[in-house]
Amino acid sequence: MNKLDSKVPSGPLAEKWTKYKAEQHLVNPANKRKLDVIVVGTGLAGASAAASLGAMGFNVKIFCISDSPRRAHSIAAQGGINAAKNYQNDGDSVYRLFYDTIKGGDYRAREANVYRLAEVSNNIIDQCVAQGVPFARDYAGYLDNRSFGGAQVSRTFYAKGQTGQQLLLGAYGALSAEIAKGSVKLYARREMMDIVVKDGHACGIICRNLVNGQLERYSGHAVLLCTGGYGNVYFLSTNAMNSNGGAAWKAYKKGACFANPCFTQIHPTCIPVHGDYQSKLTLMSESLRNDGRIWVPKEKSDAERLRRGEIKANDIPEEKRDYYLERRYPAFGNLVPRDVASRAAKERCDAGYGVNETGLAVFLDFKSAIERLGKKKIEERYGNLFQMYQKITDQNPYETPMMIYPAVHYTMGGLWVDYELQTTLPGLFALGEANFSDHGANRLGASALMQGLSDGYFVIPYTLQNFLSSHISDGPVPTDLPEFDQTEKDVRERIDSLFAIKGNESPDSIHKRLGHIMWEGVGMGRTKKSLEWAIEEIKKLRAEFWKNLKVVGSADEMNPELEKALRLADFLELGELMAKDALCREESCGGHFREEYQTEDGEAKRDDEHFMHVAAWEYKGEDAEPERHIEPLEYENIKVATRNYKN
Amino acid sequence: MSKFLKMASVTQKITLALLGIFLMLFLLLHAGINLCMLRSDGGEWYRAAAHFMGTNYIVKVFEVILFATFILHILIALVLQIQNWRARPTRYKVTNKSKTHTGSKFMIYTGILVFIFLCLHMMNFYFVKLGWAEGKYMVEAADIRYADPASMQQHQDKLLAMFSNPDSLAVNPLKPVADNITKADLETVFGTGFTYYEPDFYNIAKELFNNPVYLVIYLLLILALGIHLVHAFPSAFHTLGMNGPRVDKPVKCIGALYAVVVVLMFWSVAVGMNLLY
Amino acid sequence: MDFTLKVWRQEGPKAKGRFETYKVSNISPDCSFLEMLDILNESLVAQGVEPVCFDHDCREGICGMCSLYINGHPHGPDSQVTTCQLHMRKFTSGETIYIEPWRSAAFPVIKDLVVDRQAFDKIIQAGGFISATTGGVPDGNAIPIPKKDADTAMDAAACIGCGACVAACKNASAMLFVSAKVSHLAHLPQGRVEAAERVKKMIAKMDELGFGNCTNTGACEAECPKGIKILHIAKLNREFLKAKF
Repeated sequence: MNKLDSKVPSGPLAEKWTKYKAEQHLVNPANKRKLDVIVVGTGLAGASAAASLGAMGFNVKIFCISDSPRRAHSIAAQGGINAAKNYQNDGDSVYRLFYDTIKGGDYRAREANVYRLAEVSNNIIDQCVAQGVPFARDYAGYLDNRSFGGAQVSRTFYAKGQTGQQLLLGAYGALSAEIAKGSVKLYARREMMDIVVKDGHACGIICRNLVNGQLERYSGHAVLLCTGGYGNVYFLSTNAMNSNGGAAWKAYKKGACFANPCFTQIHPTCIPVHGDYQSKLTLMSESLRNDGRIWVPKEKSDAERLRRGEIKANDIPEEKRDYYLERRYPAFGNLVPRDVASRAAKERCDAGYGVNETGLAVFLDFKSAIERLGKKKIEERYGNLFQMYQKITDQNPYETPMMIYPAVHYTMGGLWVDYELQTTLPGLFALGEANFSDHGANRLGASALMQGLSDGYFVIPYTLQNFLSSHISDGPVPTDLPEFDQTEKDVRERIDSLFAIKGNESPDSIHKRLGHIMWEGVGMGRTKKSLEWAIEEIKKLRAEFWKNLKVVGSADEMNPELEKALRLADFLELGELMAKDALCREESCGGHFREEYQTEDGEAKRDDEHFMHVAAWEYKGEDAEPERHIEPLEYENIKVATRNYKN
Repeated sequence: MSKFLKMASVTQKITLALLGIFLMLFLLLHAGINLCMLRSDGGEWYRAAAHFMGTNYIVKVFEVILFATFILHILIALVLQIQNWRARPTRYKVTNKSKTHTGSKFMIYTGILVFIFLCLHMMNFYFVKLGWAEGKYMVEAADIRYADPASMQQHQDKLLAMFSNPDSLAVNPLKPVADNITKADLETVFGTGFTYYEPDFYNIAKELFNNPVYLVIYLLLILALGIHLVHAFPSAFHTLGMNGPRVDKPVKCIGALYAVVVVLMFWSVAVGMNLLY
Repeated sequence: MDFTLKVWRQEGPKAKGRFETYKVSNISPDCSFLEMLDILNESLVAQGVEPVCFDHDCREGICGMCSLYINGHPHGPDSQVTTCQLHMRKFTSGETIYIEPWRSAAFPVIKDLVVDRQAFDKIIQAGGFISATTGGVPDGNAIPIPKKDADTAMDAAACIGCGACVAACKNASAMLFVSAKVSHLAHLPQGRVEAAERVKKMIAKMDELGFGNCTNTGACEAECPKGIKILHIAKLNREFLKAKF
């Protein structure tokens, strides 16, 4: 049997989910109380899953790396959330959302999952409205929409520039209600260190209490990883400082396959890097591309003078500006998908048209929008984003154009899951960004929020029940099993071994070097050569890490340096797998752009014949090469075509 | 008391605000009566007002309510303040530099000053009325029939001086009311058993305001009251939920205006009494 | 730019804390305050000294994790920013900067500049939500909400739960935080059903956890990184009155 059984129900696409729900096994209320579910992570996926499962009657334990569930990085999503409501009467439908998502993902996502996502998208909006999420409304009091990259309809619901925050606070509210009722127990400032596996089933986790450093054991009948993506492998990304790939990586090492690790999304509109002390990159919402126009000077000499600070953006007359997205992609213009916009920016900057001191920035200009709509309207739409930009860069975007550059933002890759969101390690589920399922090789804007909430509110409550129905007579899982002893011992040894190195270099310093290797070798444009180079460099750096790392403080106290070191150790392995995956995928698709595989005018060139599949990597041991499994992708309801945003 | 302490903080604050608003109304009335002193009628209007306030039964009921209001206002403020202090057991090294509303940071301190003033004020005026402290008194001519005739006989010259009208042009050489009488004179002239006298607030005030030390203390404490009021007024409205983008500014302005008017009224009487009489 | 930092160091919740003096130099004016602390910590690590612990996460001003009371201001001297978005250009080179943790009985210090803000979670758990079990809810457009109300609700909902209001308030009061949630939900028809219970329960929890009382000083509003207005406190008071009588 194939390692990767997607368990997609048979039947017509539009009826699969209905059929699944009709045929799945249920757990009766009395039995739900006897079943423990562990949820790691409190972002959109984790909070919504825990709240829903708690309300259903399961015993839920939820683990949070920060001091409060509300800090999870879902909170930073700005632009919006998609749904196929068709409130605007502009021709939207579940099928069209499904189609756009598959197409946006460059035909590398599983049809059935994406269709289900589009199907439940409408329920998400209803649920959030009921929870009091203050979505933007029009003057009649009805929900307002904006358009987003990769779509020709307005289907994005938003709450100012803080949609992620509002959705997370909605889920956090629902979670808080369950915590108050006692159905969910919250463990804050805990980091998952490892997964405990008994007889091939995930049955618990080992956590480190980040306040006192103690290792703690928790058991359950199922473990849900809702731990987000691994973009921080690049050191500089738009991810939060605490975001890490540790949990997913531990799952991988315990037997869960890691799918498409090379699919990372580079977001086109971020504030450019300005110094080597910089700790993170700040995203400017994609929604800005609704009204902002992206350009660089037509003439190289102008770009050079801009870089030297001799002229300002406003000194360049209209006819000497190159609105390259509008020029190259007339149909979508500034609203092309993220991967396309990012690559176009990189192409212009590589060609010498970059506009800031480093030459790694393009303009995002609101002049014509302000002229058309007035400053007040623009302020209403993007006020907080403009303010944020000004605080960071000390420049007023109402007067001079913003400068932006692509930055690592999201990872489409993640733990391989089947239709039920279960990984290849039975009992272990992955939700939200932590799994690979819905976005293929590129995620469309406003779809991450949709996926996180769909997994948590509307998918896992069904599929987990189906899984747990066969565990109703298991009884509580004790935490004094030898498996727990062993796993905790392994964790302790790993921590001790980090302290034992006693070298000279701090985790952050090594992490920056890793980030540099990743950005250069496994960044926006990848080649066989760059990837092979990256693999070698990462290996070398990893060896150096284990020889020269310096961790101050001790294990039994709050110790951020130790936390960083532990996460970095995982990143140093994960980075290599990303490069390996990118090397094996000899095509360009979505966010994965192999420079060897491009069309004459620089567009990504897919190889559907050889690579229309999901690559899922199986861990084979410390020194062994991981095994690459394949889940072929079949498109029965959609015509596979070359992505075209030109006309 | 324990039940009171268990009340929600917002309930306590709303009570505090309501009591405060009642006190603010009272202040305006008090300041108005004080203003009568400035009229050059030898305190006639003022006395009439004071007499009314001192004898009317409805006013007496209000007096009880007023005292209760003061006490409750102070007690709640203290309870809340103690909770506030306990909410931050470790202080900051650098004092907070946040922008705050005028006077709002010192409510408890201006409140304590107002309380000190209140005590002083009570000792000078209200205690005289109760007979707990000595002051100046006045006696109506019609009431001397209740006095001890023997001692009046003995101190006839004093008695005459008390009632003689200083205004040589007056038709009647005798005043209907003798004022500015000390406790000692009262006892010697009318006998120790005589009770038909009233405190002479006008002359007590006149004497106090002509004492430069008292005057300065008075002006300063009234200023403290003013600072208390600048915040008290809008704050009370805020606590009662009467606020919004449209009322915010007007309430603040009226509050400031109210505080300035009250302070000026009290000040002008004090300074006026010092300069004019 | 060069700075002298006076940083509060405290080994653990029960340990006695003290100020330590550190110097940092060659700081770029474009550096954020937390990046400046990163630089300090790197140099401390190089010396084998335990770095300064401080809370931080998203570093884009939305998660509410970063705190720090800097020179008498929560989140530092700039207005409407969190510490992670405060830039060193707001200081003058050579300046001495005092860095203290939030001080409040309800936010005990865990280590150095890190405080425990779970009290805020407990207040929300007391009622800061609309009970809507997953599933059985009406269509999103079933109840039109006047734009004005939706916008006001959004303004209140912008709270990031950082605790700057408590840190700034001379009484360590959490009223701005509580009122933001109460006001957000009270402005929406969905939130009216539980409005009375919500405001009473949240206030009771707030009192129980040892926060001080609001004396309407406005310090919270002045320091709130998201510009939440104290008008919401008035709204809370109104809601409370409505709930009581």
